[in-house]
Amino acid sequence: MKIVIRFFFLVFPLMILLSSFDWHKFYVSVTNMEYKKEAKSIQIITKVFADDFEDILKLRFSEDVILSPESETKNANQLIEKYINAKFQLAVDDEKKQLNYLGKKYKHDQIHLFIEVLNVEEFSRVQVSNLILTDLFDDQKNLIHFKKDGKTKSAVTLKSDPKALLKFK
Amino acid sequence: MNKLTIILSSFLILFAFQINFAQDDQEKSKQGKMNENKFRQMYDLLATPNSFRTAAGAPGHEYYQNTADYKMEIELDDHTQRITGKAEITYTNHSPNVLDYLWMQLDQNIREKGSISKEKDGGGFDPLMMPDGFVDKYMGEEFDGGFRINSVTKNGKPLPHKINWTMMRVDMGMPLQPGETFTFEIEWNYLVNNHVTNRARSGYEHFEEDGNNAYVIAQFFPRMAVYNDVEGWQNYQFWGNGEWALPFGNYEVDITVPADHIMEATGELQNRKKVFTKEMIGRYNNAKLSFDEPVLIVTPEEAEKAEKGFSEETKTWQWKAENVRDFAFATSRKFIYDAMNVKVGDREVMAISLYPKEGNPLWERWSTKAVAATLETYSKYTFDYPYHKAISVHAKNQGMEYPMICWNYGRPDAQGNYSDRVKFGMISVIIHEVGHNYFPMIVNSDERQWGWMDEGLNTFMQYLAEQEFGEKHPEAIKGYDKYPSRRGEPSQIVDYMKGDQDFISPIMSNPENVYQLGNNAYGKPATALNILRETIMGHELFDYAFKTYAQRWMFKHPTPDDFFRTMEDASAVDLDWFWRGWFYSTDYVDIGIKDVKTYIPTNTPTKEAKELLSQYGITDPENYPGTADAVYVLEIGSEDFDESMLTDNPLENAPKLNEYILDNFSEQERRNMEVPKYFYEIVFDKPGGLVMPIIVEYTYEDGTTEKVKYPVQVWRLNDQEVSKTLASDKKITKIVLDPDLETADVDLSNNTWPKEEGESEFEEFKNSRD
Repeated sequence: MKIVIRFFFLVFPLMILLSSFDWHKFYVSVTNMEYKKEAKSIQIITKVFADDFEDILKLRFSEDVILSPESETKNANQLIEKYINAKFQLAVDDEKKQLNYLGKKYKHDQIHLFIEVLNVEEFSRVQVSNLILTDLFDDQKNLIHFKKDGKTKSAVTLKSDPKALLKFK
Repeated sequence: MNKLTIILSSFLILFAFQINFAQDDQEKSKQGKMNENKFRQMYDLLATPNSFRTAAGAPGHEYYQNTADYKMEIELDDHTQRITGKAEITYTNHSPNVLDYLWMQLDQNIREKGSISKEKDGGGFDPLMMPDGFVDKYMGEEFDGGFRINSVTKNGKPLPHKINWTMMRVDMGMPLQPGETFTFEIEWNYLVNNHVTNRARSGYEHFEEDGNNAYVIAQFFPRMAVYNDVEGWQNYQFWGNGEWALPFGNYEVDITVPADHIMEATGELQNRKKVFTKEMIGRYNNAKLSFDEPVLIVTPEEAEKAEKGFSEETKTWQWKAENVRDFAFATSRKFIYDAMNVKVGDREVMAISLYPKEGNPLWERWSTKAVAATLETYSKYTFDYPYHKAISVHAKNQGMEYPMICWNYGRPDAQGNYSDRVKFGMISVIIHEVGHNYFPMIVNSDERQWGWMDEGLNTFMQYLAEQEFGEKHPEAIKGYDKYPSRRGEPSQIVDYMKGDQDFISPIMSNPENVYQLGNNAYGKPATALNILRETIMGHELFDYAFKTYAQRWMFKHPTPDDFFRTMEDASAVDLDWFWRGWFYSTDYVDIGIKDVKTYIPTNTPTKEAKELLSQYGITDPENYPGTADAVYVLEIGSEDFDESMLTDNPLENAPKLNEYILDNFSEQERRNMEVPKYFYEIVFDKPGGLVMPIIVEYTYEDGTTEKVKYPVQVWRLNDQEVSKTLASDKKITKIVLDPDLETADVDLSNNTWPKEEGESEFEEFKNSRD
């Protein structure tokens, strides 16, 4: 019986993912990254829908997480950092890099997450793995734009295909 | 002819030569090509006009549409969540063609056991799965929705029919002749899905705490498909993304539910005295007199009391609707009900909201007001709302539209708290779904084929309505300078349009075959229309044309061509380049400043001019009759340039021009002439595929600015690069392209001269932290 109860409570939100419909909300995040040569850093802004992001933090960490500029959970930034590190990875020329979550900004119904990668020497390839919100929605799509030397390379990552390789010669 | 014109025309001649010269230089053996000009007309893309649909974009003199009338008896079993129904359907063939069979839509079959829609996407196993997810995906009990068709008959005799998943062919026995009607009966039942766990556009939500269900019901009956001049029968299966194509008709629907339920539905209530209490009728009459605040017809206290009733009695609500393309209803004993009157033109329309207590305190405050504001704005830009009411029903997490009635999300937390995000999300979705009454419920486009025709037009209108809602209700947007709209502004579509081309489809795609339906059918077309209105056509021309489209196709079935054609036909603005670029391609906007050169006028032939003229056999231009008086422009910093040439009197280097002016203009005229000191040539390049007007802001050394808009036609003859000249007596210190972000330019780093890197969003954030 215990198993059944667990099944109900944990699967309940997951069942949402299994439907094939959607209407006016579409599950998309956008990540803009830019390599700053002089600073040897990669600047990252990830834009997510605030309600979705709050929902996944609730599901993973605690029911009472609130993400809103009016009344935010105290440890919200810690939880976000934990989540980002679990779902977002970046390697430069095959070397895995540490992501530094700097903070966030609320913008309309979205949250902009600011992330920085330090000590990045000149490189030719970036591997990104972005599973953000794919644990909430099966059909979540994560758009990625990486700008280096004035050129932008783009990709889309999905739950079934979370990795993208961006080449700069 | 004034001096400025003389000088400019000499500029133009010289630059024109340069372009030809440069092109001659390239390889000689290029292959020929078809017309690839971005401004070519759309004959290759639009259907040939005919007597059904004209070249002007209006219905033609032989335009027809078939109708479907329904008389239905529906019963809802709240214990089993099963709907049972029988219908008498009358189909009328107004087409000039003989119909061999009829097609009906069985939308619930998408939820039948083993439905193939679940297999429509590719993709392997997830690399890792939680045990619960695994069980649910591979081992769980599957919900068995789907219609059980008990009988299809005519006068009690069975009619042959064939179900092909979400479509059903009905054989009439003999073909249906033009002008004839065919009446037949269907009986069916189906299991209603929980729309919260099994997300759909219809269904029920179960409230664990009080044991009640709130039903928002649609696609609950077999519906006639559309037969018309462009698709024949529109019987493209329902795979989940592409919504509906439905004929207009009249409905008489009797719906039987538990006696303590409160219901709203498409159509006029025929037996209000039987289903409303006396008190409710009194309050309803009061609501008809209230034009500024909603009046409660079922109070929260009454609804909470009703929640505990669980009546075993039933009550039948009788509805009648004329000229609607669909029918939907909402019913629950949990519903609070409020309403107010809205004046739309010379009509009066009831704005109504139904919500359980869980929607408060948000819903009592804003829902009905959002409905009213939507009707006002949309009516202004299209046509006066023709139905007698518009209803917003609270549903946990869906927004979905039907004629006169729609479901909307936006729920406070258990303590009744809500953030601005929840509030604006709710107001926006209500505006959007109520707005769908216009597109596609009345301007009845084919959603199955073209999602953008209703979603795009409606999202565009939603933006206007949201902004006007903010102006009407400043108390609702406290803390904001305007209503925080999510879609519509050009900068908001940039992240999509600059993306990986492998994941972008043209707007003119079927909704099933696009990667990002939200951006594809909602965001991009809405933005494109906003750009048309703000930047390309201007409000007056756009609004007239848009209204013409809405009124021409009100209660009819338009196609994309009808929209494209009407917008041009009613405005005299050639838009083929715009439709082709924005709707038929995935190109994006990127225009940049490539170079800025400064010149002075001179009578001494420049090196470039000499080279050019020598090609035409003129070796001594100063003494050649045709060019003896010619004016040339010399680039500052070039080989022949000398600092001493920069004098206060710019005509010093061009004595012949000076003489010309003295000889041809009176002293009075000369006094009114300003003598420009600086002559600029600005070279614009276009890394993006879309052509757009070039919007430039010039800043002068004295701090003044001037905004110039070069028409999109500047790209007619050269799609890569174009130069513009400018004469000024003040020095230009800064040039900014698209200063107000009107064009959705995806790369702003080439939009300024001299090149400047503004503080990026990232740096701004980082610096604000320090």
